[in-house]
Amino acid sequence: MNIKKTVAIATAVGALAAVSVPAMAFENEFHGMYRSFGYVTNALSGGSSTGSFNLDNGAATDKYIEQRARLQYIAKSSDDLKLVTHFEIDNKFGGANTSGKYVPGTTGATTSATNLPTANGDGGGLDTDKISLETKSVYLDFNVPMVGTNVKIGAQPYNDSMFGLFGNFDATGVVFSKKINDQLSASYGYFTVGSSSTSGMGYSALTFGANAAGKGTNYFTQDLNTFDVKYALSKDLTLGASYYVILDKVNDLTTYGGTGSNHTLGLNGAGKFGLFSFNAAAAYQTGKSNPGIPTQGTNTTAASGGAPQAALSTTGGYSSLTNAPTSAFAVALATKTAVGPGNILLSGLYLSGDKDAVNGVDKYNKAWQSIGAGVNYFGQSNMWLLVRNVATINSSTAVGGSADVTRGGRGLEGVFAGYEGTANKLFYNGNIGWAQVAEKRTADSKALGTEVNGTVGYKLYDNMSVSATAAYLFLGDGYGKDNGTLLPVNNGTTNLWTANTAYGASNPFMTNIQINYTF
Amino acid sequence: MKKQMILMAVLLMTLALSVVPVVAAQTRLFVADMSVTGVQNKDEMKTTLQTLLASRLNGDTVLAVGSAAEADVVVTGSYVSIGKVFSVDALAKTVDGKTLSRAFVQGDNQDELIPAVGKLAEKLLAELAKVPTAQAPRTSALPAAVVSIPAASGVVKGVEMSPAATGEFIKPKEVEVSRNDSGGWQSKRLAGAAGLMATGRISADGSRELFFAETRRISYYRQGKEMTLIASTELAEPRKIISIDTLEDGAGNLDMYVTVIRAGELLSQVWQVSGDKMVLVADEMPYYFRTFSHAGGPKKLFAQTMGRSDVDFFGNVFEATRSGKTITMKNAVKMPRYGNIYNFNQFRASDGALLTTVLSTDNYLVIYDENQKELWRSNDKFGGSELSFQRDDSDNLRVTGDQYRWTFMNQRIQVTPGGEVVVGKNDGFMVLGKARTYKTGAVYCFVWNGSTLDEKWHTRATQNYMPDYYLDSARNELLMLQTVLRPGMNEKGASSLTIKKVE
Repeated sequence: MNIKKTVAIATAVGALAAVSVPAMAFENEFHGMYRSFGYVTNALSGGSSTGSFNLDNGAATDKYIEQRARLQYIAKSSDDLKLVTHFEIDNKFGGANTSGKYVPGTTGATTSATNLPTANGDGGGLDTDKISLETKSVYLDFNVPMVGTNVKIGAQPYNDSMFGLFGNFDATGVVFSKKINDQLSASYGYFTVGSSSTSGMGYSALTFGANAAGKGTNYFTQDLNTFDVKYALSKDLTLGASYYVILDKVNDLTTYGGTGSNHTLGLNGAGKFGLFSFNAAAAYQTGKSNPGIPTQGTNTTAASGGAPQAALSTTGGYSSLTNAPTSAFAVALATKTAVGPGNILLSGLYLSGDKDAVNGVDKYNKAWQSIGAGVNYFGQSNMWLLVRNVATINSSTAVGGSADVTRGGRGLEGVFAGYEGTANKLFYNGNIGWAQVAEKRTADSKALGTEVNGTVGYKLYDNMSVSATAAYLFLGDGYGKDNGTLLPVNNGTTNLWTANTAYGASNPFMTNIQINYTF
Repeated sequence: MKKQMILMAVLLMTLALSVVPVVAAQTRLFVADMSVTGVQNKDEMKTTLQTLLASRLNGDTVLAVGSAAEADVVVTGSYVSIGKVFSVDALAKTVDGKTLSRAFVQGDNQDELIPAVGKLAEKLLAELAKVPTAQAPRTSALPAAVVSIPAASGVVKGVEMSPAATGEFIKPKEVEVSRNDSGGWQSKRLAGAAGLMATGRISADGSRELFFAETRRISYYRQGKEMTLIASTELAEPRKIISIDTLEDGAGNLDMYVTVIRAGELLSQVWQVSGDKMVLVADEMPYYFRTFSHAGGPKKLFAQTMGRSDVDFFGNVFEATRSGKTITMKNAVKMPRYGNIYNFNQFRASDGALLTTVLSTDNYLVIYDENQKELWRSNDKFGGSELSFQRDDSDNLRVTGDQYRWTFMNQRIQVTPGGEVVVGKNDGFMVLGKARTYKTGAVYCFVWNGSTLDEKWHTRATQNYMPDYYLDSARNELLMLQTVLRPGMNEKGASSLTIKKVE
């Protein structure tokens, strides 16, 4: 290499270094988690989505392991400007798609009779080299100094102010939030949760109704608008109000005679009195019905762990509003009282239900409605089988095979009690919970059952723990152990499970070993 | 290729020659710029001081020259004025960065400035006379490229490019060593990885009360020639200590304010030292506590409260007084952005303005004016702590995978009676979200020059994580707590304490 070239390279490197200097202001921030569950259970079987819940007569005990990793990278230009990206990798050991890449003896045929796997699996199989990266979030987070407002735009997480009963989800939208003073803060969010513009931009959307001519396909969106206000009356008491409105134009003129709307108005509070603290929320819904939560069971394949209560969308999707008028409400309370080396936990929940399997039989649909199936929670119950646990990963389900707290619009009444504590690096909790649906419809009983569960864990490191959990559910009569009236699947005319020998369901149980690491 | 080899040979020869000293009869000395703090006409003062000092140094043994390029010795210095009192400090170095002498003078008013500079020159000349190398540090063939012109005091100078810095073993240079690195006291290895430290009273025999806190344990030591454990106590599960501070009441009693988190709620305590015992005098107090010298004044108690949901620090910080189990809050200190009771302090600028300094979320040191408007932000990070507390974060469990929100504590910011800002700094190869592992710690001292914080000194970095430090301004001693062994599964860890004299 001659000197000229050396000098040229040195100059180029120098120039590059000089150019790179401003970029040094960037902060590269990483967060993430890893969690694995090793299950022994007669109820869960894992899966690529929320999984399923088996209630077979004499259900066999099964075992499996699943894992989830999340990686969050934040490109932080300053405290006022950052890009947040969040990715997820899920696997069931051995693969959730019934096979791995190399499965001995497989021919690629799906042979349900012998349960031989096909030859095209996912990243959980042998050699693991399948694409399994999902995007959780991609959004820009910045402050607008002129107005002192924070803006988040893009695919981002959102949680309502009512324990996630309306929705705790990731969605694409923009959220403006402002802290007005030490007491008052407010936020407004706009999310597009659905769109009919699958065929792209254009002005040929005549399929959406006779009056749709001249409107672009992007006109036909389903939007969620959120308003949240919180006011701290004192350091120990905060009150809030929220208003969530779904504006649906997909069915537009043909169904609604205009933009359909579903309104949720809520009040919430958080307080502390000495050693007692609480969170509470109450909400009322009106407007057109959101059938994102199904109003009746549609399952026909429940015998081998299939979902006995299929939601219209099991992945959190949203369906168009229907014309049935809504009048529903929800009340929830969670308390914590410091006692001894831990806390007594008490919580309760009431979600109104609808008597009818089909909308419009009576004047109002009284079923509490979430924004979509699979995106509602009541984590404060601390249940594993009766109500799905927020800590679950792939097997995120509960009795009935549903992630839906509303039980298909039947509503839910539940009370839950527990105690949690620590002893140095050891932590433990025990819980008991009872729940029934608010409306039994065609079932003989409202009772879903009573669950007892316990967890003991050890913190190997500050942010890494290993724990063991056991949970047992005494099924309520709503599941008809002896009369076959299986609550989630009786559609009013046929008991679908009877034909599938699920008559007389077994009490579900579950044990798991959880390894949890967050950073 | 031949050309390159010849060029390299020439460069090497030049380099070799540059380290060979040549004896000179008279030391050629250049007085570089002086940094000036605390006066309005800074530029004029810089020139004046430079001229005054150069004239007074010039004599039989020293020839004051007009540029660093001509000089054997370069003198840099600083002038600091606080109120009417001033101090002029000077540092003489060879052109290749070796320190020859250091001296200072001070006066009570401006009338004493010119005589003081004369005294300073005398001191420097006396010191230079004692140093043989001062007579002949100049190199005969020093390439222009490696000659640097020292800038104002406190700025790392071109000595780092010195050709003298050769060899396999690199010794710490003057610029890397703290001013206070003049020995010091080192404790024995102390059982338990203490994350917090507080100093108490000084006994008649000169020993000092010291308190260390681990997750739940408080240890009471007396530090004389050795550290002696006097008493210790352990809080019940699931409490966690996140701060420990002391304050003497008017009657000579020593109160110890211990901020305690229990399941995400504040249940703080006040202990009192009674003889060789610690007595709990107040419990389950819903406050964050901290005692410190606000704006360099006398030590006071401050308190802040916790809010609901995701509000970890609610509202302003208040001065507080305790009467039995009752805390009375008064005189709110309005917090700027990032500010909370543990990461802020205030100081008076030379124009009398009360400025606030905080460590930001990313550990930058930020200065705010009286209207909470940002004036300055450091380019380097300071602070850093592995100590945190957790509060329920069920709302975000679905996203973060963690039921708890982690709030990290930070290094205390002290302001000395002279208005200097002192802050700890931890560095580590891995500071990743909740996984924080710091490797080294140091303490930095700054002075606000009206525009930025000028570094006055910093300590040499410790070889361990420094969870806490305390500058005892009354005794001019810097106490640095170090974690020499982190706690593990069956290991409580170990700590040590280093005390350095601040000159």
